[in-house]
Amino acid sequence: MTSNLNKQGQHLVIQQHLIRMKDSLRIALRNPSFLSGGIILIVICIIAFFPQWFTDYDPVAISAGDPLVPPSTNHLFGTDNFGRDVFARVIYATKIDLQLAVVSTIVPFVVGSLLGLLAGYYGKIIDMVIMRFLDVLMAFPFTVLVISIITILGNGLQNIFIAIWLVGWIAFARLVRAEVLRVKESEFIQAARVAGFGDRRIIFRHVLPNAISPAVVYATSYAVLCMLTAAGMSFLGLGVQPPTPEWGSLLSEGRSFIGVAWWMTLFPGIFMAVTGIGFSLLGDGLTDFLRAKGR
Amino acid sequence: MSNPPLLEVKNLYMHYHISDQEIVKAVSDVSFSVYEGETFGFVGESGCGKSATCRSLLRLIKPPGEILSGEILYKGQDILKLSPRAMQQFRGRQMSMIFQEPMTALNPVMKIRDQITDALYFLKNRKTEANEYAVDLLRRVGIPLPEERIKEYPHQFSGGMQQRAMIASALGPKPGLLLADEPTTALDVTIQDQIIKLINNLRDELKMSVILVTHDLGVVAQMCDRLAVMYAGRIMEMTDTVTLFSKPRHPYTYALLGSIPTRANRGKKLEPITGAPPNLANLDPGCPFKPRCRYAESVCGEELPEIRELKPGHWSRCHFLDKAESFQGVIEDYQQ
Repeated sequence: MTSNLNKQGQHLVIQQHLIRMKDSLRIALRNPSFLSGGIILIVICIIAFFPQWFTDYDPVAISAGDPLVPPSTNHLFGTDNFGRDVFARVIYATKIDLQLAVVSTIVPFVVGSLLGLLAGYYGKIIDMVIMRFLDVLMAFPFTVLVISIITILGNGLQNIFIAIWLVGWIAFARLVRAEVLRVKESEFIQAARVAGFGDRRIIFRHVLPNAISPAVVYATSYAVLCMLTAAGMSFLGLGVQPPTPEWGSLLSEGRSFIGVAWWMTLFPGIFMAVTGIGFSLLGDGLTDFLRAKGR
Repeated sequence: MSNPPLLEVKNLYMHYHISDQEIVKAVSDVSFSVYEGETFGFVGESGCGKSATCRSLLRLIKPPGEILSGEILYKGQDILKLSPRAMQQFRGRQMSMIFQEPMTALNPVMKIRDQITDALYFLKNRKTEANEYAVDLLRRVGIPLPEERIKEYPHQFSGGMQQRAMIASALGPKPGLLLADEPTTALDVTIQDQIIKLINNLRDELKMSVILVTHDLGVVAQMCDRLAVMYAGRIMEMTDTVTLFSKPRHPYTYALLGSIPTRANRGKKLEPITGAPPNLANLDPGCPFKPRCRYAESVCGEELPEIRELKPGHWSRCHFLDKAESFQGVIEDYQQ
């Protein structure tokens, strides 16, 4: 009798669990920003990984026959001054730009969070050193600092990454440090110490998961910033070198022909804007979701 | 009580150095012993050093707090002399602690299971063995359907359940001594009663000792074998529970007992203790209770009384221990 009741109860609890899991998925999907941002980024990812599905043209092959052809069924976005298909170039550029956004975010996210964690948790000298170094970097505007680092290192995709990595970690470090300062005074951190846990376990198992969510949300908007900065560098001729397609350099190439061939600048610009909006929406949705979960 | 005590604290001083002008004397000259299997209580008003004493025992005091002197002997070993690493091994395994606010003392982003199994250092097979052990612990602390509840997060538990889960996680490594820092303050009365009974049962079952910190004399009466009344960072009176409630020998204890409703003083007006506790950063040389003591004489303002043993096991800190008996009528009938 009791075991029967018990079983029934267990069954109920399992059911509740399933409902709860479905609920959190539904909450996430019901959030319009999260959903639309997610869909945009999924589409962008598909374009980035399988560009050959979308176009038969070679993005770098020059055809002397038809330069500056306006958009038509043959060339969806028209052709550029060398007769290259703009649609193909925009499509093939997606991979590089997505890579720029993601890779140049992940490294500062990890490094910055780690340094912020150490600075916030240990305080004293470690905090002093990290924060003063950070203050120095903060004194320079972001773009100016990136440009000067690239100027020192030389042009190229790799050097854009390095420049953004060197500058980008400060925001994450500040965010995480502030959260750690709040979390480390919590009673559950003291409870963890009472349980005889060492610093490493307390930092990574107890402090980090409670301190990381603002940094995660910031990472989505930082990805947009990185993408725009990298495109800006290419636009200025400091980043990706022609003929490799990249949205920023496409814009730059189209600039000289903007009077006769508007399609050369418009379409890469739209793609860039849409990807940026996708990241921002995802970030917004993530904020709502994390707030709802943290209740 | 012929056995050597499990924990023996001798002349413990813990001060907060806020600045050179301002030193908060949170714990001064505290000595007591806790024997195996007993519950020892600390009672007193807010800010009288109960929790500070408790935290000193686990060396959880952070700067500007500092343990100045004294000995904390656990099974004969002075834990103030342990290295930080040895201290880390000591915490949780020998001496553990439960907190006042179960909501804030459980990590909100970890499942209950992980919070319990993380401390089970002695089990090799984390996955199955630790899980079974944790389920068994939760069942012992009275959580229904532990197999399922163990997968949940703290916010899915009610306050009483959270306190039970916290007790379970503190008891996981089988400590010899459990510090309970106001374990029932954040809970409503019916749950308080359950938690008190639970701690009492677990103490007997696991043969551990408990140090209870509370300002609730009712809780003390239900749980403690012996207790110390603290005031301004010092122990004022220390004896077994029955004696303390029936034959107290310190004016502060009288005042405390007189300020709570009991069957004995039914129909009479309660007598509050007038005034406020002294500022611990700025203590006068005399007895700290003097400004609020109705029996105070001039000597009380000049000289701090020593704590004296007036009967075996009954200690009190007052200049007028000989006269103390006549100070106030016997307060009786508090205990059930």
